Amino acid sequence: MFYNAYEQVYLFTERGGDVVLAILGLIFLLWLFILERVAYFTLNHKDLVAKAVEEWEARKERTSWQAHQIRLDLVASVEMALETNTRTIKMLVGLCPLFGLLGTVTGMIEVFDVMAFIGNGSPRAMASGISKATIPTMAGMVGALTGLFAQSLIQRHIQRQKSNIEDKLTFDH
Amino acid sequence: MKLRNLFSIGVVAFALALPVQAEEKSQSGLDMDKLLNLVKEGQARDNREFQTRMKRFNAAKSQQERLLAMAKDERTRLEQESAQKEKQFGENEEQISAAQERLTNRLGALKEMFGVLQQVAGDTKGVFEGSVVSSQVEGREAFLSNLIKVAGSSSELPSIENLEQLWFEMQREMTLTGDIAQYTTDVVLPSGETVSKSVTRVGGFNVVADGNYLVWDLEAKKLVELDVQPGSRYNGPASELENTSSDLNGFWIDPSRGQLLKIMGQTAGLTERIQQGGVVGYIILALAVIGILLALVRMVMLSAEAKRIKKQMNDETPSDNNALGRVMSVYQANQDADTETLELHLGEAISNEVPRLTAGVNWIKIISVVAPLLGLLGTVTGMIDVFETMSLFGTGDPKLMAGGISQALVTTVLGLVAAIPCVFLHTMTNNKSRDLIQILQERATGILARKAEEQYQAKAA
Repeated sequence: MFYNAYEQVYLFTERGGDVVLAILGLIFLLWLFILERVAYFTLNHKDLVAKAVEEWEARKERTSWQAHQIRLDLVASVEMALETNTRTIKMLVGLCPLFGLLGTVTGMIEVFDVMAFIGNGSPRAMASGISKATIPTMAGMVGALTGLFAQSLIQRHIQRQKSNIEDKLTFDH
Repeated sequence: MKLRNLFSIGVVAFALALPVQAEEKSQSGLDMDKLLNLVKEGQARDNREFQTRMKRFNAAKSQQERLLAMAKDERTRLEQESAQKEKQFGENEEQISAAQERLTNRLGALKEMFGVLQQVAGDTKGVFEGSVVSSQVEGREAFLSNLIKVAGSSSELPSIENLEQLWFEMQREMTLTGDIAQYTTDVVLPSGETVSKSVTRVGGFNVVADGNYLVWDLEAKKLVELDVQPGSRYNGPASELENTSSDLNGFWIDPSRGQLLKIMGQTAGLTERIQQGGVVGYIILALAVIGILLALVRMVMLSAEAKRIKKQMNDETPSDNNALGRVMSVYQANQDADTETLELHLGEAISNEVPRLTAGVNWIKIISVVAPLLGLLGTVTGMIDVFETMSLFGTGDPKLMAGGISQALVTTVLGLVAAIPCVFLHTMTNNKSRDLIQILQERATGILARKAEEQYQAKAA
């Protein structure tokens, strides 16, 4: 069964050409970053919030100008940690369709090369170029769509966490 | 009489031409009276000549009649002879057809066999001419041409030896196309000179020499080395095959007997592809180079700045070489001012630093957006080119449209190739500069406040 799956992937990459490999690498990287975010949210984030709350609660007074600045600093450091890599994820999602388009165009170049050599009478000869044009587009689209979905979920989670941390660091009890 | 008429026409024509010339002639002293006399004299002379000619013709007349009689006799004689020959021809014809019928009867099934033999020999000749085996075995075509001639003629019969040799040659071709052979033969190099080389033939498909692929040239009947070799991925195993002693060896076979290798040599390389992009392509490439260089410079500068800021975060004394240090020194200078003035000063110091950190980053973004747009521009100009060609020459020949199409596609590719690294680098530089700005804007005051508190507590203790 595993071998069958491997065979499918192998055929897919072979038909789609080198660009599909690049797109697969891109999708792999994209999901690596997404999983890194998920891991951070579930494992490290709570500790960081607890530490910030602890430092805030340990203060004697929470109303002076200095206290305000320190609170801003605490919130900002938590937010910065939350937002790490989100822009990279966004960029990777944006790059997926670009790579798909690149594959389309290089595939079309191959089609026209074939046409220049043997004329347009043989659709069979053009099939290789056409599959190289269409498969990367599809792969790029699929990568971008899945990534976009995950990205919007992450974004919403970050927004919620941001308002949470601001709520937690209250000025007075 | 005819002559006279002609003459008078000549005179009239002369007279018509005369008025034009009269003025010029009057200078040489030739006037109209003299001309009239000349014409009169001419008429008298022509009359005399005519009389003598008439006399001569009359004298010759009797001789002509005698010659005519002789010619008539000759004609009747020849007519008789012709009739006789025609009869003879008819008889011969009958004899020949009778003889041929006899020949056909006696040949019987053999006649059909010779027809088949001729056809098979013709087919085999075609196969042999296109086969690379011909570089190893010579003189097969001459034998086949002779055999075809003999089998086709009605006066000669192919001998048993001929038939056996045809069978032998076909069997030899089959055997040789099934093996790998090494032998020495003439090879035409790309430079044009012919040298004797040791070559390796792989079945009926390909021939290699010194790791280079050769093709069989039909016209020259010689092995020709391809001037564009398919590349080390294919040539490496070829030279390995030549020097190997093991039974199993990897080798790239071109099943089209060299046609695919030739096409491979014709495919455009990277530089040719870039040239196909035209002016738009060069502009895109220049933009890409600018964008990437700019991004690299910014990356180096921002990394250095980040390092200095990190160091500053753990250091009490503000140093002037980084953004955070400068903000801190502003804080220290206004430490005693009230909080609102301090905040204003700090805000001003921070907003002074922001442009220095974000400089150039937007340019990278602009390039990453403009490059695909320029690619689109190239696509459209290329398509205009294609449609112009189509309106002139029609859609029959895709080769004519290839120039415009390749321009259209290559510029698109170049646009994407420029945009992808620019998007990537923009994100990286943007991330870095955003982080630094965030440190300044949101954390600087926090860091300062914390430090002030520590100092205060230290003093209190």
